[in-house]
Amino acid sequence: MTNEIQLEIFNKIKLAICDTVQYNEVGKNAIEVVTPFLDWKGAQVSIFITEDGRITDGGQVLSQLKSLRVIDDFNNWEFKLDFFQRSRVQRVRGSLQPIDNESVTDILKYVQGITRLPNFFEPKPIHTTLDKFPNIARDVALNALIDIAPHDDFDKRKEWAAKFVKARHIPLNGFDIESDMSPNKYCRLVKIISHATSSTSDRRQHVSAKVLDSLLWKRDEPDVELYIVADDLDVYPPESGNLLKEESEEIIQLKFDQSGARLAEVLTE
Amino acid sequence: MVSGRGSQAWYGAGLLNPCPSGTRGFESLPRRLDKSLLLILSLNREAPINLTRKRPPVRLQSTIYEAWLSENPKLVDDGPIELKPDLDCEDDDAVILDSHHVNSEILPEHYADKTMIFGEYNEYTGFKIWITPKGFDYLLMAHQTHYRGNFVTMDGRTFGNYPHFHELDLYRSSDGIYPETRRIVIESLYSGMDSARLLEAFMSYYNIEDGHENTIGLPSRSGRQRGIDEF
Repeated sequence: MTNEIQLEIFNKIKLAICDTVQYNEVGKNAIEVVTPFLDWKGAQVSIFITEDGRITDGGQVLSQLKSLRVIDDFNNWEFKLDFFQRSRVQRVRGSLQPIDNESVTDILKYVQGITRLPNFFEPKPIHTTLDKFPNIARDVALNALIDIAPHDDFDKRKEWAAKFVKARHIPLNGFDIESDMSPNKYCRLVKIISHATSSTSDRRQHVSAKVLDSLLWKRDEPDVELYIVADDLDVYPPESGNLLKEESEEIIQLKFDQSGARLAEVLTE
Repeated sequence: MVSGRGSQAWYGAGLLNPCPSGTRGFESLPRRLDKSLLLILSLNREAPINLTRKRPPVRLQSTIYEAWLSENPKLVDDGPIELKPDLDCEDDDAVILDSHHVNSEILPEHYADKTMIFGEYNEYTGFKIWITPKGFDYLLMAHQTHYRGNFVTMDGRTFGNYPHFHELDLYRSSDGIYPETRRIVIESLYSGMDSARLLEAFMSYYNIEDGHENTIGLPSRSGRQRGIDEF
């Protein structure tokens, strides 16, 4: 049974929540309705009512998704239609608006929806252009090769190992194709897949470009083998992962133990 | 799970036409799906995931935050920063500021690894700049406008709708839990300034170095296309 103490606390909470809802006059004769919802940055979420009675986010959510470099992820999001339906959101040009302006239930779902939306996507800030993963992969290979080098002297072991981790250029019909490392077998290409923190379209193009060399070489030399070195295949779009799986002999993911030893085997056999 | 087979994966990857003139059709290319899949599955089964050690939770101390504010410089990865036009919005001032990682020697590792700068534009309230760790509350903000009544700056001046910066005030907290915000207005801020000038003033005041030599400009609304040479 609800008692007076509980009701008093409930009423306080209700009043406090209602008190946080305020409005301000903003640009273009619109008003901003400040809601009690906080976004992931700790900022209060606002919606805007235009002078002709339209409710909108002012384009802010999509602008944020673009700046966070996840707009491709949003556009290709498999739950997008369900999200729009359940949150009663529609995309009108560059802004998000409620489907039904007349329904307060719809408007509340809309506010909750635009508050939650950015949380579904992992921001992809631009890191240094010097992608460190190729160097990391080479270091992993180098250390594993040093362990199995057929010399006693450390400098000689290192020198022996170093020749396998250099890039190799292979002339082909007037142009060069490249292997990111230099395996013993001439017809073996080792390609390092990086760009793990890039946008979806960048990762997709990077993977495609990496596979192209082996495809071109295979037309002249059917015995060409492609080996892929990646940190974690799961961060790439599914179609890129499928492409790598279909066109390579093996994908060595450095997230797994013993991957260095396997890479050393691939380079030396 | 592998969902695509044969040439479908190639179309999905956006690389090739099915049969360019003068070349063999791609149906003749070797298909090693089953073999590759078995290899990958066997690798997954036999090799446990190498779990990285979790770092302990951290609290941002006020002294650290204040030292970071004056950290000189705060280096931005892959600069210079550029404003891009937001072609979905009709406003000439509508811009996109791509998020960039911001390096720091002073912030705790948790923050330093994840701190980024980015912008967002609103048709009615203008441009905002954020510096925030990915997935947590802001460290700094810059607002082109202020429509929520008057505000008082740290040095006691009162402004209405005026561009300003926000800093955390970890020394003060109205509820004993959440840090206060303090607002900053500097000489280079002025009413009606555009997104580019706001960004320039913000970067200059907080020693954010991205390698740009010329003044940051508003972007052309014709946009630009990225080239394959980046790969």
